[in-house]
Amino acid sequence: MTSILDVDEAAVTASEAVLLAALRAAYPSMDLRRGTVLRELLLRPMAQLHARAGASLDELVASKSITTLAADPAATAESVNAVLANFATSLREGTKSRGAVIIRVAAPDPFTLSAGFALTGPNGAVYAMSGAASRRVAVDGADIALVRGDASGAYYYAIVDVVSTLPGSAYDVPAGTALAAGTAQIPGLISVEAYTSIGGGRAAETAAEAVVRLPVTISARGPVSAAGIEAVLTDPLHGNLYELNAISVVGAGAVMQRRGRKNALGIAVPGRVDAYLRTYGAPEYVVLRKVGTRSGAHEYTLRLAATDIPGFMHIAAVTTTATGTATSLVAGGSLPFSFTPYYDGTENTFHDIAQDDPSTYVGSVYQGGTLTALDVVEDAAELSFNVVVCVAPRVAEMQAYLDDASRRPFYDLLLRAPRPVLVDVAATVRATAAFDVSKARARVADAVNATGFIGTLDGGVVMRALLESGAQSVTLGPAGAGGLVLRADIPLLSGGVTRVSGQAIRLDTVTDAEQLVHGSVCTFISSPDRVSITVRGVQ
Amino acid sequence: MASVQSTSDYTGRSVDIELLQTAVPRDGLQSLGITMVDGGVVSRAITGAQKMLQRYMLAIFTPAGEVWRDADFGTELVASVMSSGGRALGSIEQAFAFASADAVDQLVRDDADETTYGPALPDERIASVRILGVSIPGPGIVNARVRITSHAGEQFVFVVPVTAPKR
Repeated sequence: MTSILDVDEAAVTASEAVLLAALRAAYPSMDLRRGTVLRELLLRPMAQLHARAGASLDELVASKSITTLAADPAATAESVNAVLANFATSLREGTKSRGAVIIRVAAPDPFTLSAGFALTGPNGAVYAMSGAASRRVAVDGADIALVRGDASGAYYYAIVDVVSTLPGSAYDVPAGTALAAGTAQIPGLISVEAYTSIGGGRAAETAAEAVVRLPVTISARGPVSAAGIEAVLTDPLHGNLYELNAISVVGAGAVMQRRGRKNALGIAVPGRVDAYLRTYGAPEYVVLRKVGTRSGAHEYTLRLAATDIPGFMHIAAVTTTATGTATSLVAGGSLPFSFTPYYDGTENTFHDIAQDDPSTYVGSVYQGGTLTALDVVEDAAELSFNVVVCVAPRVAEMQAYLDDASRRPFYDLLLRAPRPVLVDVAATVRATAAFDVSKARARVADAVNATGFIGTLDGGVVMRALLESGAQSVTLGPAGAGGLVLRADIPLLSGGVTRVSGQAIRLDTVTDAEQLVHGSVCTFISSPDRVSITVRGVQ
Repeated sequence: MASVQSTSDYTGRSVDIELLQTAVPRDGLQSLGITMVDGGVVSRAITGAQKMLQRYMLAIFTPAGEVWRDADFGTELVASVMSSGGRALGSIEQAFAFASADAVDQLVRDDADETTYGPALPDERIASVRILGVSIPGPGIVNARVRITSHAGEQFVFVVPVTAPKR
């Protein structure tokens, strides 16, 4: 309430009646009829001030109720946080979308990306280069490597990490989205596009969302339940951590609590909790440039340290930097390879991990890996490779927060990236000429990626995405007749792959505790490259 | 001109604060402007006919809509006179007549509401207002001659304004 003019007439009239009765009771000889000086110059101003004070009081009372604030579009975050502070929490801040872009140029001429280098995406979204310093891009000795794109040298490329300038999921875009470089001076620029999905953006929490979250936050905080651990991990005042798109807490006695069974009798013991976190909206990819050592004919071995791959989920592609493109995330663009995880932790960790059992640490900050690239054409003692790795971001930051000496030990909580189930989709739809296949593929991938630890990916998820993309109908029936088919590759810790297909993917049919294949630890991942859509015109 | 009895006994009366110049107690017409009481004068309590006249003056000269959150109080007199440009005597007479009737209606309405305001004595309740004449003696000046009669008629005692009412 900023002005007395904001008080409505009914409130003033009511105040006037109250004060009139009070004055008359105390001073019966006062003439307070209209037209008297007492009425016009004393009672009326008093009534206005009284009404304003009442309105301010109402406002104050309303500001103490989180539900009232949630219904008030004019309520400020400060007011909401004042109430939430009573429950030792506050509104979650928004997060910005992050990812990598690929800049293609015609020649290997070096150039510099200034600190203010920004790109414009769909709907005017603006992405800035991560970090505050300018960066030099060149073939050798540069901050960012300029890599030959193909054997003929028709183009060169550089991969640059970017972040949206504003928070919100509206700034998330799938891989392959064209971006505009604006006025940036890049010699021989061919194109700029999202190399990975630029994702993870989230709008700041609203008061209404806080109302929904509050019961869990205040009732279950603490290491006593899955909900309590989720509250700890997502509570802004307990570390200002990050929004979790999905979480699966595997505690004492659970089938997939492998660390709790690492004793002589194999009996489940409490005190160890694994929290699998889907910290991404769309899967995120990082590109590592590693030197491999020749370990056999056409075979090179690369060692990935735990610090190289925090939040490791799977290897998406491996190419040599001399000949590979490394610009595509599709498996076909990769050398064949094998990958073996290994324990890469410190000696003094208090986390109970069996170093000889990857199922106790894979996806955590203690996982490294040995990658063997096969069928390599080049023949040198050492060779440079690009390794595209799918990761769950920020897992390492969150683990570091929890393991800070000021907080531990309260229980053995190990954060882990979800185990990936890589999903390919083949669908046939009936649609008009206006049907945009590329957008539909992205939408299907997004729908798959948006699922949590659900255990079963039903074809209905895909069908709904296709119909929402404008398809008139989706063909069902046998795969040979163009029916909807989902195919899943589940990377195993042993190095192999389990394949499942059908109109739904049910992990309970292939559960394997030692290989960490189970609905409680696996999430489904796809990408537009993995979605095939055949369009038949509407008849 | 007959003399009028006066008293300063406020027993059983409700009071207001003197804002306008004091009416001289006499039988007959007298000029009563909206001149404020002189600065430095100690505020005085008024009642009876003096209070009635002051309320009438306040009501008729308060522009309708000017009182915040009580737009019904007041009349259109000032607005009508201002818009007339001081030339159309007939229209000013007409505006005064309407405004006077409107002011009296408002005052009578509160007089009748004894539950809220307590009883109003006969000498502070307007019985009638008769406009004797309106003239424009010069630029920017409008004179109105009005006869105001209370329910006390000629049976009234003028209660003089006092700084501390005697009971």
